[in-house]
Amino acid sequence: MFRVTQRTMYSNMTNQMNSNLSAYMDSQMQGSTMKKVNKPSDDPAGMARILKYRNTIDRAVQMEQNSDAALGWLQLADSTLSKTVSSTITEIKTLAEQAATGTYTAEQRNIIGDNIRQQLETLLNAANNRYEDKTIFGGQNYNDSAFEMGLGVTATSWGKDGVEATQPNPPFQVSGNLTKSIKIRFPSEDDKTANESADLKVGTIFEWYDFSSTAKEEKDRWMTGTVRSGENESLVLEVGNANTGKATLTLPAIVDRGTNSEPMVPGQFRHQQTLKIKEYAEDVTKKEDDATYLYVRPAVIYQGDDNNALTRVDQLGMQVNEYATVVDGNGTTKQVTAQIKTKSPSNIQIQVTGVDSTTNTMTFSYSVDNGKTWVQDNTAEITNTTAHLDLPNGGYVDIAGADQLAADDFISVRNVEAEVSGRFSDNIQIKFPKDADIVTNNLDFAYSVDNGKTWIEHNTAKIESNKNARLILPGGYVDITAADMIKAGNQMVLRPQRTDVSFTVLEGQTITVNNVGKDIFGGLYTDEYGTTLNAMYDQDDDQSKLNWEQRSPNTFEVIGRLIGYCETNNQNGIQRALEALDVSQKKVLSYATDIGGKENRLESTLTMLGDKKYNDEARVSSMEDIDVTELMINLIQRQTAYQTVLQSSSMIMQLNLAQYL
Amino acid sequence: MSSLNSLMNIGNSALSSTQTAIHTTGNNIANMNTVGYSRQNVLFEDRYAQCGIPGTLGQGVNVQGIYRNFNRFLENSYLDRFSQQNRWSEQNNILETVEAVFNEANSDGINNAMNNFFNGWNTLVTNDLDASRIDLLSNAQQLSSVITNSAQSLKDMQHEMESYIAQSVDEINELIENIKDLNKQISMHSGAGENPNQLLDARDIKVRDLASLIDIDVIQREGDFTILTKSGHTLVQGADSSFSLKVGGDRIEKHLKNPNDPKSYKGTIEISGSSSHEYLFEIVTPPATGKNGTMRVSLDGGKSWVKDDAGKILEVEIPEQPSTQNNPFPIYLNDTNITVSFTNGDPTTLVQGDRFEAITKTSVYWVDPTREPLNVTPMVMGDGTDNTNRLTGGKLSAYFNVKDATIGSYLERLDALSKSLTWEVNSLHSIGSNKTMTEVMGTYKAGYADKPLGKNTSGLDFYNRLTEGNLSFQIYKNGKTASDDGVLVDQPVFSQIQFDPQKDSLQDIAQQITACYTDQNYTYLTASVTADNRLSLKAAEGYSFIVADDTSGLLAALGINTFFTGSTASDLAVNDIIAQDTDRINRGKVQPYGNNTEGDHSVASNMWDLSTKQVKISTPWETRKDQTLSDYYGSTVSLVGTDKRTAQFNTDYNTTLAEDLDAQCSAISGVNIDEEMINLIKYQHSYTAAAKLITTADEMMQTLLSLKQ
Repeated sequence: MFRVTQRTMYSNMTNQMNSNLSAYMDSQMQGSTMKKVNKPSDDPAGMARILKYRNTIDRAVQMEQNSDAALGWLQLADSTLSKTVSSTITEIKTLAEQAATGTYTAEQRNIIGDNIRQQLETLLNAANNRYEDKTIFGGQNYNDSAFEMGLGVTATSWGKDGVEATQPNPPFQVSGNLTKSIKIRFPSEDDKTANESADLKVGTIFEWYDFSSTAKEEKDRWMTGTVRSGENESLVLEVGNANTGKATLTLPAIVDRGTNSEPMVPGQFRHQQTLKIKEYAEDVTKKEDDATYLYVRPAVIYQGDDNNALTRVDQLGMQVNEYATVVDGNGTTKQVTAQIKTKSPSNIQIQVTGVDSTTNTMTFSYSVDNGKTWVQDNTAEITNTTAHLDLPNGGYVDIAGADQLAADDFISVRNVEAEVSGRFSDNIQIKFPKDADIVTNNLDFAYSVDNGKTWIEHNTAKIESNKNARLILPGGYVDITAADMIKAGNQMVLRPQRTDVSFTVLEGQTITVNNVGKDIFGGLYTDEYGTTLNAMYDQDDDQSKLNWEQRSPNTFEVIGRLIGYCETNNQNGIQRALEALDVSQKKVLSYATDIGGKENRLESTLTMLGDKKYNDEARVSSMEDIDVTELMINLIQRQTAYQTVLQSSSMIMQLNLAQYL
Repeated sequence: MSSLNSLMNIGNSALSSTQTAIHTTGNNIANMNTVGYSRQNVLFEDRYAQCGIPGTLGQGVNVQGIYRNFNRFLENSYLDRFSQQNRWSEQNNILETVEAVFNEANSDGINNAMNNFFNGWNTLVTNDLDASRIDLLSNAQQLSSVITNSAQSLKDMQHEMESYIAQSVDEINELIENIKDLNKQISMHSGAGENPNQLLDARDIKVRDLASLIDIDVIQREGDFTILTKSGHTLVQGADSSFSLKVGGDRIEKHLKNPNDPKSYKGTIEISGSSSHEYLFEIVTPPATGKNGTMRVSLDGGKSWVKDDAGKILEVEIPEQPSTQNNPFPIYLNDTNITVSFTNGDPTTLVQGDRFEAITKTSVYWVDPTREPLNVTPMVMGDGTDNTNRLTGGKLSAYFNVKDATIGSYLERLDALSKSLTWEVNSLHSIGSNKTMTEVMGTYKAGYADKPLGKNTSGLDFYNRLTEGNLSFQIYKNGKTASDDGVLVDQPVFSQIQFDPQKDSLQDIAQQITACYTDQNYTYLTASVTADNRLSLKAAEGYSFIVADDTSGLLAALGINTFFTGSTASDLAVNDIIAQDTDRINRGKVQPYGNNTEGDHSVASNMWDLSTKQVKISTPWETRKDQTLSDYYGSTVSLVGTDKRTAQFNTDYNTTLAEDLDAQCSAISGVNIDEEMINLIKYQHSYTAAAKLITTADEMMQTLLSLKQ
């Protein structure tokens, strides 16, 4: 039997009351917050899970918002393409059909040209459409307009490097403003020898048609101009006057771009471009194709960014330009060290024609274009067994061990170069953990798609007999020349041009919401080297230019030419453009279909997200929310317990022997 | 033969004894609620009997003594439990406050702020507006402030614990003094027949008070009353005792392997920074001339050693040169904020096995005047158990455990979280671009301009995150308007800034950058090292630059083009450059050709994905690579909850046991009114009976005297 003392009794009663009351208050707290987990210690593991679910739900909400935003972008693009753009093209087609009718006069075609100009404005506005103030057809360059109105040049019968061109746009850059299209021709000097092929050069006389002229005679409306030289060895043609507006046609010099991995310093290695033209002679030239006509007409120029720009490859840690292989007259190979002190050209072939040990000189010829052309009879001095070979533009090659060279030695100075194919969404880093294995012809590499944080290792590329190797990467591949020269620790970074605005709509799934406008509408654009290019043209099968022009899917260019032909009264041209309009409309609609498909995908994504969120919310609720029935029962139980303690305590407290004495 | 006188005497003895008993009973009733009072009983004995005819006659009753009802064994068991109960309930109370810092159940805390921060990036992906940038900035500032506030609250609690510790140690020393005095008085009054009950009770109360503060063992042998700590350190021994506890701060102890060797290390080590751990350093490879040595580190007195990220025992480099004021050579330990330097001696005289103990936190020492103070600070080992060579019970242990093991580990986790957050965000941000820069200064300092950045001697916060890699910039010739980035300048020299963390110093890298962007006529980008060892980049007049790529983490580690500054939970903040100009928030990366495009959002989407990415997070105890930042924080919250739960459970458990033992003690020592009532009646009756005896004897005397008449 246990001896019960007052102290024990009272402290026990106090403790019991306290513990019952605190349990009661816990239930009351749960009731007030409607949660069973009110602090981490209520359910430590559950708390962590609740937080995790809350994060998941938070992300799902974000993805819902992303999907909504994506849907907004896509719906706008869809309606723009399938409604505005398509119907406008249809209208232009109707107008072109009229203009193509043989009975129409120049004046009537002119009026139609004006109409089409207005329709082109509508198309331009559609192509510049913005969602939340961002251009939807401009790639990632979405703060500026995707397209701008400008001038372009179409030509008939022109050539390049002696070959007749297979596309109507000669590489002119046009600036200025014309109220109407202008035609340019090149008169034959003696006015007799027609169809004469000549080079376009400084001093070449040309004639442009002044449509504002009031001269009675047709031939008096042709104004004369002279080709002059412009900046950086370019050729310039100026046309127009105060009434017609003025335009400047610039034929830029060709810039040797060096290689992908090693761009040239601008201004270096620039040479004048040659254009072949057919001269015009009054009596001989009958047909449009008989002479070169330049049509300066409206063009839409793409301002956004594009994804066919090259992926830039930064080669890091490669001691470039220092590998040289010598093959002597007997075909034996030996290695010497060469140091090139200029950036370009990167691959140099040197043919030693003689070594004179008395004068310490060496004669050689070299080629910087892989042996196509050779620069003969050069002399290099040999100082302390190093030959110093001068190259144009201040560059030079130093070859160590030149005293061992003999006539007929063929030196090939090679550089590691990389060429990339494929589309990459982000930068890729490549590193080479060990030297290229020239025995097994294997090249080990590792790559990283998260900026070097984690590496995918143990990949092997085969070094081919031409010393090239192809590294397969997610999204494409890189071809490396002189792969046998790779040393351990070399790195490369592929930096692709990116155009996609893409939102994450499901974990690990993104959707691209914008488009590269030039892939849909065409137009002209300027590449990363500043060259004006036709945004798209079919290069397949038959390359006869007329056929090509009829098949062009480049909507803006087709319409630009159409306007040019209308305003210069060229019925054949109008017909060609009319056929091409069908092709370009199909192109636009096929993009609309693609976008529609994305919209459908998004709709189902939204449903999925909603379901997932609902599920997760239900799970969190089951973890953290109180079951009200259970709570009520608990409350009643605890109330009862508390009451019991109070009651029994009060009864015991009243009892005392003293009362009975 | 009986005499009437003796009959009177018997009555007299009975009267006075009973009166004593009633007095004692009364005293018991009076002290019913006195804390520490032990019920007293009167022990009666019959007086010596007289031998005679017709037989032995009793001579009445004597009060042998007044004893208190007390069971030493039960009391000692209770004291053990009482210590634990006090420790856990105190711990439980404090953790309730700590838990509030991490309470994410009904309020918005770090988890929510972190989500808002990441979601802010996603908003910037879909809505490229100024408003989104401002929103993101305020989310980031909120995140950094909620983390720093949490860290500050935890630190405040640690400070509070320190004041409690000081108070408790004072109390303990006073109690030791009191008990010593009581021992003296008790031994004076413990003569024959003397029972200094009040003094004994008083001493037991003091002992209980002492047990509430620390864990003790009480040994009572003969007259000796000894109190020891559970780990065996004497606190009180009889009446003369000069033992005490003492609060101490930083302390370094040198344990050389060959202390008597005249060639052994003469210097000492210095440690700076504060931490919740006690460090033990052991030389693994002694430094030699021209070659650095290594040492390993233990946080639990050599039971286990700190590991590196790869799970191997971390070996920290020791420089061969001695540290001086101008040349402190701090050693940064794996993700902690402690620096160590070897001073006043030649490090090359160190030998393998030399050990140094270093404490940079408040500790408690046991002071025996004849010996060196001994560290008895409560300590939790790597496996979570208490170090039994130290104090383990009472409130004092609670304060230490909460301060060092519990709050200390939460702070470490918050620090680790901030560090990883900062690193991950900065390394994504540092390779992005939004606007060209003309001049930028790194936010992180290195200790030295000429030491390899990737070594623990570099003095760089993020030294151990650097990897071998490379970086490049794009240079622009300035445009005419402010919004125009200008024209991309082709790299004058083939870009190849290569970084090897084990070899390259800040100076090396600055030289490489400058050399890389210099051609025959111009230096486009100049990198220099500032006086306080930060990297500064400056574009030439009329030019500006953008970070194109960095695979080494160097820019993030140096704080160039970064988002956050700081590296702990206490100094996490948004980079001033960004706070002042939200256009410095990098949404995307630069395009390989041409200008920055505004539509690229790769940095922003990667940031958002960071919320689900598994990252490396490491504290001095462990390195995890399989958790997201949110998961890690979630597990921290869960840890806090578990700790609170454990404390709650232990409180309940020990309270129940202690209460039970107290009830048992009380069953022996406590006063029961009913019982005392019975005694009162009993003794009252005895008293009446004794009085009746005297009356009877008197009557007998009268009868006898009347015979004469």
